[in-house]
Formats: sequence, C-alpha cells, structure tokens
Amino acid sequence: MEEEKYIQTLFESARKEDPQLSFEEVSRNLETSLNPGVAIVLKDWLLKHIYLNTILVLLAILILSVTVFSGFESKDKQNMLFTEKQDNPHPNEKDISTLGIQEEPPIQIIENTTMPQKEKTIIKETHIKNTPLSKPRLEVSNVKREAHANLPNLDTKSEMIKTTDFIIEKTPEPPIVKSIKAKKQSESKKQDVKLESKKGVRTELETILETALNTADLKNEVFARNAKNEFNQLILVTNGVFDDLIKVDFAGKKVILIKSIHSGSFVVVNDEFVNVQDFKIDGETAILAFKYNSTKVQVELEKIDDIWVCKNTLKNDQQHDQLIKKELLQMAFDDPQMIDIIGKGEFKPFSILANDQLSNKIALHFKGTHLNIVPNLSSRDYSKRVTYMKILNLQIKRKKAVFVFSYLGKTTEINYRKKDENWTIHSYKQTQ
Amino acid sequence: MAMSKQQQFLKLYRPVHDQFERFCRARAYGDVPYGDLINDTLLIAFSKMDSLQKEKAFLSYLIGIAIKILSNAKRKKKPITGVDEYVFHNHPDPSSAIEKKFEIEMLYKALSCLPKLQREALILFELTGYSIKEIMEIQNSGSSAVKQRLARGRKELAVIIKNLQAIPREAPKTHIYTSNH
Repeated sequence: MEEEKYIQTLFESARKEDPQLSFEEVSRNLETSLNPGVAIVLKDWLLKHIYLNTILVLLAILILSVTVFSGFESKDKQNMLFTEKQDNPHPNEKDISTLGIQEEPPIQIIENTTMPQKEKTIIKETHIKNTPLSKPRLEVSNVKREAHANLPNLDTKSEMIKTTDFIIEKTPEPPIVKSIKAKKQSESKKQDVKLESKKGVRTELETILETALNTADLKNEVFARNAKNEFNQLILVTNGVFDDLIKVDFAGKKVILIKSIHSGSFVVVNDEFVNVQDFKIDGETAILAFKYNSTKVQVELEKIDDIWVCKNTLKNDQQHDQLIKKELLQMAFDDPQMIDIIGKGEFKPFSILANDQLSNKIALHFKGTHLNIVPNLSSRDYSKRVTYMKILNLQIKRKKAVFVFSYLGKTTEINYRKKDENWTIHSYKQTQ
Repeated sequence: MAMSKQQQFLKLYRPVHDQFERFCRARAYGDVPYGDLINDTLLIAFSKMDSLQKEKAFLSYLIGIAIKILSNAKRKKKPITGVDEYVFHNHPDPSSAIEKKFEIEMLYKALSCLPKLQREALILFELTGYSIKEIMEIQNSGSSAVKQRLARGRKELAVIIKNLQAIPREAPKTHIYTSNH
C-alpha cells in the first residue's frame, strides 16, 4: 500500500512539474524546420541526392580530364607539324603544309540513254584533290558516280540513287616517318634473329630427354602403340622434377608436357603416360627414371663426343615382377625340403604376412590348401590368432633371387638362381 | 497561406503542449531525445494536418504520431533487453543534477524499464491524464487489457523503483592533487 501511495505521489509530482521544453521553444523549432534558410535547403538537397551529385561530379572530372588530354594531344600534333616543317624546308606540291582544297571544273558528263529525253540527267562531277590539313595521309581520286534514273515511279530530277567508288592512294610518307619505320623494322629484324638463334640452340635437358625417350629398347617394349601400329601421343608428367616449358619430340610427334596429373589442362585417363620420378645430370652422365603403364623404367645416358647416347635401360614391370614372385614362392612351397621345414609333424594352416612385398591377389597353395595373404600388420585382415609366415625379404635380380621368411620363430633364407630363363632353388639357410 | 496554417496549428498545439511534452519525456526516456521526438511529431502532424478530423482529438493525434515514430526508431535500433546501466547512470539530462527532481527522474527511469504497452498505458493514464476509454482507442485494445496493463505496470514499477533506490548514486569524480613538496 505504501509503495502504491509513493508511486502515486511520484506521478502527481511529475504531472505538476513544469515542462522543460517551453511552447515558445517548440514553436521556434517548428518554424525553422518549416521555413529553412537557403543554406539548409541546399545542404538537405545535396544530402538527399548524394548519388546524383556524385555521378555529376564524376562526369565533370571525366570531361575535364578528356579535354585536358585532347589539349595535350593537339599540342603534340602541332609540335610534330613544326618538326616536319623543319625537316622539310622546301616542300613540293603534295607537302602537308601547302596543300589546300581545289575544285576542278566538270570533267565528265554521263548520259543515260535508256531514259527519255526529258528525264536525262546530267551529273556534274568534281574531282577532289587531296587537301590534307587535319588528316593529311590519303588522296581520293577517280570518283565515279552513276545515276540510276530509270526508276519508273520516281520523279526525274529529285530522286536518284547514286553509288560512288573510291580508289584510295597513299601519299608518300614524310622522311621522318620513313626513318622511324626503318628503325622499327631494323629492331624487329634484330629480335627475329635473336629468336631464331634461341630456337637453334636446344637445351641439354631437351636433348637428353629426347634421346632417352626415343631409345629403341623403350620404343619396342614399353611405349604403347595404336591399331595402326603407330606410337600414341606421349604425355610426360614432369612432377616438378624439371621445367615443363620445353619442347621434346617422340617418334616424330611433339610430347605433351604437363606439370602434374592434376594440372587441369589434360585429363590422363589411363596409365599410359611418362610419370617422371627422377632426373639427374652429373657431368657426362644422366639418369632418367619414370613410370609408364605400371612399368618402372630407368634410362642411363652418357655423353660421348658432345653427343648424348643411351647407355643402359632398366625396366621393372610390376605385373611381371609379381608373376615371378608367385612362381618363386610356389616353387618353394612345392619343394619337399620346404615341406620338411614348415610341415614337420602336424601341419598348422597359416597365412602369409607379405609386409607389402607381395600382392594379395596372388594365389598360393601349400599341400593343397589356399594361403591367405595379408598385406601388412595394419591390414584389416590381420589377426593375432592366426599363425603367420612373415616375409622378411623377397628380392629378384637379373639372375638371382632371395626369399627370407620367418615361421614359428625360425628364419629361413632361400636362394634362387636363373639358368636358361628357368629359376631353380639354389640353397636353403635356416637360422633360429 | 502557409503562415496562417502554421498559426492555426500552433493555436491547436498550445493547450496540449504540457501534456504532450510530459508524454514524450516519459515515453522517450532512454530511447531518443524527447526534444527531437516532439519536433519530429509536430512536423509530421503539420504536414498531415488535413487528415485531422476533430480538433479535440489533437493530442491523441500527436500521441499516435509520436508512438509510431518511436516504434520505427526502435525497429531500426538494436533490441535492448533488461535495464541498461548506461541509461541509469549516464543519461545526459540536466534535470538529474537537481535534487528536487531526482525522484521524477527516477520515475521516468523506472517507466523506461517497463514493457512497451504497460509503459504507454501508465504514462497516458497517470501523466497525460487520459481515460481508460481513450487509452483503449490509442492502443487498439479492450478495457480489461488496458486495466491489466495499468495494474501490472504499477506493481512492476514499485519493484523497479525499490531496486533503483537500493542502487547507490554515482559519486561525482574528484581529482586529488598531491605534491611532494
């Protein structure tokens, strides 16, 4: 109750309070708002139409700049004329400074014979001589006009269609222009000579690459051909190993060089492209390593008498490699000595932990049982409950191969030898 | 012709000036300077003078315009929820300096904390002296709604004023100069 009373007293005192803003002040404010001065009106207008004003100001600036620029240009022209006058003190008739408009008397009368006598029109033609005062470079001569006055429905004199042919002849250039042109021509010739000389010199990189790619060995065994037995357009992905802005030819065709597969310029659909892995030039020798269609290729080159020659090519076909590996392993599993090593006593079915040295798509059998191949320890198929034969090393060389594995705590090394294109087991070595 | 219209307008405005000024001061507290609100309202009212049907309803006409201006201004502004400390302590009103008027100032502050319709109903009823019927017309609501607003507004106002009295007034800042000599 007390609070309500207090509030009521507050409201009462507020009602009784004199206004802080008097009526006179309010009326004065209203009058100034209703009848503003010129300055206020102008200010309001400027603020209201700020976009229009900005556009106007910009236009004014543009016009001013154009006029100033054109003024400069005309000054330049005047200077040019002045210099030309100085260069040519005895001007002939065609000279710019002395030419003027001259109208010659009528020289040709064309009569239309197809028209009736009354409708015959005579066209006076004027020959205009070139009078180059402001634009003095062209001379107009031999102006021909034909009157097509035989239109049936037209009045004779007033309505005619005229066609005009102009033959434009160039006036001889003043000596200063000739000298400038001659200078420019000589400069461009010099540049052409420079470019030609640049074209003539091939970089060592281009030479080496061309030699390496055009090796007969690679052409026969590596690079793909089309149905017509012609080589496909070769795509070379530099991978940033060297500059891709070079020109290299392969089998008479220009090689397409791109920086990476994701360069965006080309979409490489299949694996038939030269994927450069490494490139080294060491004095007189160079090595180019690349992948082409799942084949690893290494080309070794040598410089003999300033000519790069292919010294050796190494190819490592991954598919072929896997087949050899399969052959070697299956040979080992079928060997009776191996059965003694692994299958002594009770045979435990096992899997092969390939350690990324063997493809899991290869099918291997031991005593008629299919062997599961797990690529590595982080593979989803890996399980601790399964007995594994872990491949420690599986290396194939030209005439030798080695297969090292561990099984049930024992490490076994099998050595192979290649004789007359046939692989045979050379020796077993078992360590604890 | 324009002057005569202006004079006619001012003649109408003179008797309602006190009430309108009080309304604007209370309603615009913490939102916009009330002087500007009065000026804007009068300008609009003058320009749309022809739409005024009854001279007696001139104050309602002005209040209606002022409410519309305030609602438009609020729409443009960020929504403010709760009591703004700045409004309480730093609102630049010369009257706050005067001890006598402190309580009225506090009332305006408390009113500014109320919901919009409650505040409007209270100001119109208590300060401008409008009847519930008139407020019904202005607020476009029924009588019970206006009565509810008035009752609830009073209650809330009491709580707010109590809280405001509990807040100590900001002491004037003084600079103390000390010398080592």
